[in-house]
Amino acid sequence: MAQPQQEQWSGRLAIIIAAVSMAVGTGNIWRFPRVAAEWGGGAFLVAVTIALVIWAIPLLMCEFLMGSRSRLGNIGAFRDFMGRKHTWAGGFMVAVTLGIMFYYSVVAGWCIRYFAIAATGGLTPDVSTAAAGATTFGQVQWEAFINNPVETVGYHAAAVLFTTFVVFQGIKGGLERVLKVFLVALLAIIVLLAARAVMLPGSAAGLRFLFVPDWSQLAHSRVWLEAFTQAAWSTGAGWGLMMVYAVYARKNEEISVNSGIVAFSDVLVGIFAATLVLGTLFAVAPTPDIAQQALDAGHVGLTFIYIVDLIATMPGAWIISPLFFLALALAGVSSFIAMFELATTNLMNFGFMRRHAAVLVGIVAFAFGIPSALSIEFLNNQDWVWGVGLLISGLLTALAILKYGVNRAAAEIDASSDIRIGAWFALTIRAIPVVFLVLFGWWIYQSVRDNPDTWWNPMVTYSTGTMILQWGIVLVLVLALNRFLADRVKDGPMTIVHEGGPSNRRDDNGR
Amino acid sequence: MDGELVFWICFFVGGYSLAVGALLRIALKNGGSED
Repeated sequence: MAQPQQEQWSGRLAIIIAAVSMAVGTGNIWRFPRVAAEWGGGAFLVAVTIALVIWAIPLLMCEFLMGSRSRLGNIGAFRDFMGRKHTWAGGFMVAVTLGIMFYYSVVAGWCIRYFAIAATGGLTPDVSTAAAGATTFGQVQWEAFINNPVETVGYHAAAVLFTTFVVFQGIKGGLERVLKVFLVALLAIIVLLAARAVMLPGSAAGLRFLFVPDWSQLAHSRVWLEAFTQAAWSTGAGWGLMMVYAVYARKNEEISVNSGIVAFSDVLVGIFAATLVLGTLFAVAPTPDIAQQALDAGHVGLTFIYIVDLIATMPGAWIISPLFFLALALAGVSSFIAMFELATTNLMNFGFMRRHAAVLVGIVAFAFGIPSALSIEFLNNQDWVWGVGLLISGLLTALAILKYGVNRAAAEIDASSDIRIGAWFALTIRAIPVVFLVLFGWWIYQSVRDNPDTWWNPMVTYSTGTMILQWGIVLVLVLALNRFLADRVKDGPMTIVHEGGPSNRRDDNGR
Repeated sequence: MDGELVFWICFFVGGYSLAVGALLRIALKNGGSED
């Protein structure tokens, strides 16, 4: 039977833009500056660069290979690379990314809301009176918003609705067209605001935190753990998103240079965002202590309270504030689009038409996002559980390539790449399980150390117990559904169908 | 802004920009056009 023509990115630049948009998210703006300033500035940047080379780029290459060769979403790709028995691994990866998607739309909604309010002049109060009380203008704004379910659910719905519309239109007509505009606008705003921050008197104190290396920090294991965590979360390596975008790549699309561009661009945008955030904070905060407090206030405290208050005191706040939140919204929505596409592509592999799949994903994303829209505790819990779960997805990706044959994978990547990756790829893929054990062990240790009495309790937001319970439920489900998933996901070019039996992966080398 | 800070800004921003620029150049030279 003739297969319908598969959708495709219009060219190499299109897939690069989409992949960079996927990687650059809100974390580049609200996580990277805080972590870089805290863990050694320039020394941290060196550690991140090493983490890119050892963890992020090899994993992005694995994902690219799996998606472009199997021409299937995560579930099908894992079946065809690891064998039918391990189809569950793709299901686990999808579940983890869905777990993130269900609260990420809420976060994207916050960004859209703050942009809308800033653009209509709602974030430029009379600061002399607003900051006079015990609670600041930013705090009042945040409390009023987060405790208003109509607004939190409403903006969550807006993010889902917009994304459904984009994904509904398909790869070329929807994602490509929107992401191109989003990325250019995002980069222009961040570079502009970063340049403005550098020119502010007093910004040098913040920039010193970011750029001047404190080499002694490299002797601390924590710096390396933070750097690898940053590289793992920020670049999208192990999320399965690159795997899905690669499904729509042209035949024999380049892999290694494209993956490098994604990883290095992600950190470069992080550096510009950190220049913007740290430069502005230290220039505008009345004292360095207040700037430090802002950095210690977490994602929400820094972005939606301190930055709101501090930008309001700047000359030109009427334009800087909306531009900042527009950048945040563009970053958030473009990453959300990638997660939404992951869910849609996987559904399409089970026989759904794109438009039906997009609408279904939209309905499910809206429904499952409501708890996070109503409770920030629930959102924090989901962020914790599925954020750390991404490390497991990264490990599963490396294991898939190890099972497939790391030298074979390296040869296939080399065959379609502009630069040869040689032994480095094989070495790093073999090292990833070890890196995973160290990183994962550290996160578990941290959870137990910080919650000595409640680490086992699944009802506590940041406990080990809650992670194990939720991962356990997903694992049992995907293991139970393994056969169903393997049978029902459609066949791709790597799949061979045995007579009288279900499909299996092709075994070119007789293995 | 002191000389040390300017040096490190140039080092990191310049280094990463060069890396991205060089890779993009390779990408655009080898197949950046439409299929």
